[in-house]
Amino acid sequence: MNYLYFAEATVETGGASNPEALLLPADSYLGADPASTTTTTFYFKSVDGVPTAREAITITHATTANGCGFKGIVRAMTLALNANYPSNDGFIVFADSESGTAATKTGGTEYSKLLNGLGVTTIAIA
Amino acid sequence: MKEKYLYFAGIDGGGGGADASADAGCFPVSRFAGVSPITVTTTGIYFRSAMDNVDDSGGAGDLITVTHADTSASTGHRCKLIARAMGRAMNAQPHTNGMVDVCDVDNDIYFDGFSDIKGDSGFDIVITLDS
Repeated sequence: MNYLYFAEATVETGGASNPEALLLPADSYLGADPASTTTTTFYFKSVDGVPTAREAITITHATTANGCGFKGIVRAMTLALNANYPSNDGFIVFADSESGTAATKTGGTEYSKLLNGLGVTTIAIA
Repeated sequence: MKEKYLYFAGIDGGGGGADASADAGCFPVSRFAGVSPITVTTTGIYFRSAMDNVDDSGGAGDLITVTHADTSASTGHRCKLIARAMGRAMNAQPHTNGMVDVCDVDNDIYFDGFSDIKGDSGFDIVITLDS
């Protein structure tokens, strides 16, 4: 199974409530909502098992006219959920925007190549 | 299909001998729910409770809290390193017998990135089972 990693620009706190980074199994994926022309929210099962809660990851991206939109980002997500790269060990960095509180984070930010050209800028986890 | 299981052992920064409650734990991969940072020096590894009953108080499933160095202002939060280790452990094959040692302080066995944080000041794992 694939496991997808998401991180906000600053990763320090959170736990099960409003974490600033998350690793989630692909089978926790619940769905997506086009929050606006440039933001899409992806929903996953809650990490702490609370049935009435869910993890919400909102990604800011380009509009449809500029090469992304809801369908573009959802397509990237579904490809990541089903990705079968022999070398990824099941660990897939979908969108890691962590730059840290210092500018020396090893490797800097990291995004899936599936997001190339989609204008992804911001990750927000709630 | 066979299930894979993840083994954790350790308490208070050392090996607990796996002979008392919460000294160690073994969780099925199918129960894995996620990894997230808790504080700058702790990361949570979550499993859905085998009891399938989240506490009325809003309690959680089974939780492994890993204490590590604060690297959030330098190389990035340790949660990514732990997340990568978990992803790889859960997909480890073919040379596993069904159980993967993720973090076994008793026997000094660490999977992937856990070997990088075992030397962190304050390194510890705490297993909290749903009640």
